[in-house]
Amino acid sequence: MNAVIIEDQLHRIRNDLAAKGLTYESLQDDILDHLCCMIEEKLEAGEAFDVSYGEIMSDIDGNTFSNLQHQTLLLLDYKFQRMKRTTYLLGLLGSLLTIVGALFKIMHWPGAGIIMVLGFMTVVLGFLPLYFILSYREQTEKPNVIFPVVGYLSLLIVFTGAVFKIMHWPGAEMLLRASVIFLLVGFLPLYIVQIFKRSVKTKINPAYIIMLLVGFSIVLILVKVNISKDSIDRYTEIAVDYRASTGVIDSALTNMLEAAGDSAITPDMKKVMSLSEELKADADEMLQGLLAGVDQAGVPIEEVSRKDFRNAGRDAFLDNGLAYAFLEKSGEFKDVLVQLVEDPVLQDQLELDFLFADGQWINGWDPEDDANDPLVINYKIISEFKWKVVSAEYKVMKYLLSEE
Amino acid sequence: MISNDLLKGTLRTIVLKLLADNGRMYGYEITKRVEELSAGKIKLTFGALYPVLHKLEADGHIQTEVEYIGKRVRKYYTLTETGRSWSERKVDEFFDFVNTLTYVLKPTPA
Repeated sequence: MNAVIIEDQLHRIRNDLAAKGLTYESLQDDILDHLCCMIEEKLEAGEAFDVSYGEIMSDIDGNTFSNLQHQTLLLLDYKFQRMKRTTYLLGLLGSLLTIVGALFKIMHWPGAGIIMVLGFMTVVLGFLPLYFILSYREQTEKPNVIFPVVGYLSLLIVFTGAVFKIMHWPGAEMLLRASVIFLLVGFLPLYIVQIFKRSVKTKINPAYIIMLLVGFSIVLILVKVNISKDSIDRYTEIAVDYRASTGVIDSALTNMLEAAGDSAITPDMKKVMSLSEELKADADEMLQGLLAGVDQAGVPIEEVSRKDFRNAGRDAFLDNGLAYAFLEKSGEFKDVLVQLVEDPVLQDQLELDFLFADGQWINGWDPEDDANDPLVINYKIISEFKWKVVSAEYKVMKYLLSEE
Repeated sequence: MISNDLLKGTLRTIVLKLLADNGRMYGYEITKRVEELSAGKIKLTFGALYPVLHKLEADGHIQTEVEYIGKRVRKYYTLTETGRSWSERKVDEFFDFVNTLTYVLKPTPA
């Protein structure tokens, strides 16, 4: 080999490599030798050093050397590789927990909430930040901070909103709405811009997009399409019917008692009447509470606006404990009534009428689950309960009076 | 030319096999040899080759010997003991994969 690169030229190449971001010495040695071999081939073919070196370097993309060093160092960085494994492990764990939690939730097994929250927390606080840090560090050409940050924030709000929604914590609706806005005005435009700037070759992992779509669909499911106008009208109609029927029974009861005279009222009957009064008052308080949620207390349900409002139930009967007190009293009321009547048919009717108070999830009323239903649905449910109380009272009083 | 995507997962196996067959080699020699063996179809860029070499070295599968060529350093890579048995496994694994793939991709006569 007679064409050997001299020391000055070697110096020049080394400096060029360092200037282009290849500073890691062991790798620099490799590349230096590699380039020299390439140049020497050309020198042997009779080219001058400057020409052949210039040709070789112009064939190599400007970022190649810094990329090469970056990729090599990442591969050698055991902490980074460990972080990568941890990240995927956390992602797996988080999604497993979430799925198991969802299964528990669907099966109504205990512990569903805790498992789901743990799963979500693993994803939101463990997997996602690590994932975004990883993909940020893996970017070689001028790292883009905005994209991972906006992506992480969107997912953070979506997932947090989902947890709040599932756990029935207050503020869920707001978070979910915020996340939709974030996705629509924050992430999507950014993503579209990135697609058009593809020539810049910023690395966008398809996993971003998949996760975002999943998050987005969760939001859509949870926010739910609003209740239809037809359903609102139908629920209103039923609530009005219950109200009318309650009024009819109430006045029939008053007439019946007047006709019987005060002397016919036994202590048992008095007990029934006072329990019923309490229940009716509770029901009325819940009904008015619902309307107060949309600032329309005292307005007849058919004239109320915003009957699709979803946050009224929580204030009206959940936060103040009224719902559970009502359920408990309804149960006691039924027990008293069943004890007083000896007619098995009437007893059975009473048992069935008050199934809602037994807390079993198929027949029972679960205030926790229903609190976020549209206002009109809750209004109809409470109207129905009130009607059940009044009609039970009527049937039992009639029975007791006829026994005398 | 064979696309980089196809090559990605097999580069490590190629390097290990070459070192197993040729004893010690330096980086440029590896790219030349691959080009030669593949009749020019596989052109390894140094950007792809050296990260793999450094990773293999860090994992203890290969080791380096340094020689001076004039004023510059040339690193010769050789397999370590663990690297040798690993390379055999990798090559077997790869042929198994290729056979399977041939089976899957070749249309069987009806």
